[in-house]
Amino acid sequence: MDIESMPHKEVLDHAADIKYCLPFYPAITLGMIKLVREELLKVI
Amino acid sequence: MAIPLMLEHPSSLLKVSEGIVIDDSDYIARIAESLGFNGNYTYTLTSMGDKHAATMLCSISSNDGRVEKVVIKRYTDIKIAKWIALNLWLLGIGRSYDVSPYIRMRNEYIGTRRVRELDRSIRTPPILGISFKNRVMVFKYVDGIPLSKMIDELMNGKDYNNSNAIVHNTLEYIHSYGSILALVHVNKFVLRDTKPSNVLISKNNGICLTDFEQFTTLKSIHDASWDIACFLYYSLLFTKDYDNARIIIRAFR
Repeated sequence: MDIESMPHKEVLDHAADIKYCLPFYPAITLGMIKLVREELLKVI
Repeated sequence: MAIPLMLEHPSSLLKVSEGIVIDDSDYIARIAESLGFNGNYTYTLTSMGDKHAATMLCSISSNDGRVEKVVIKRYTDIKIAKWIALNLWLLGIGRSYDVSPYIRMRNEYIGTRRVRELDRSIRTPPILGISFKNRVMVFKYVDGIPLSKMIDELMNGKDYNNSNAIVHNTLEYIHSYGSILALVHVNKFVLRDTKPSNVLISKNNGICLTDFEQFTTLKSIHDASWDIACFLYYSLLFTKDYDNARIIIRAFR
């Protein structure tokens, strides 16, 4: 499979989904969650 | 008349693509024998990993001073509890992990080999032995620093201007791991357990991926998304250093 054929933007968009941070809260702060999501969405 | 080994233990005739079948009760002796230890040797076992881990470091020493280190990983029923608890933890987000020891062993064997075959730069621990009967796998020991430790050092350091060699190297490794993960996903696989502690940086600066118990085929892009989210959130647990966190995320993507 060609690396270009992977829908990278869609993958990152889902990775930034708020539900994926839930298992890590409160071990990860709300501010850090916001930062991770913002940085992932910046790529899209 | 003694019963031939092959009749007493028919599974000793089984062949696997990598390593040997070690269904004997004294499987360490079989491993030692396969490594060329004959007769006089001793071995010590040391626990490795977290308290839920059933992984032991086995150092085999011969009288002439030769020492070989192997990692013995047991797929115990106690660990089932760990994976069930994790599944409950992930219930709300629609993710799940494999629980059965046999499926986890299968994942481990296939994952260790398939991921290594994706690119010459990717290393995984060589498999020395496998036994479904004893629920055990034996790997060659890889001496390295967990990426999680390097990230902790970066997060606890004061210097985040990339001038520090440790910081620079850590970011390069994070970037390389991101590239490896992309390659794994493109080949329709997922790791699912992408904790940075499962990535070893070996002495020759190679990246060695370990722990493929949850390796499987990619069924939807959500699987790939979870790999990414899991790595990033695990890397940034219990930290409030936003500047360094931003650098880590940017290095990864």
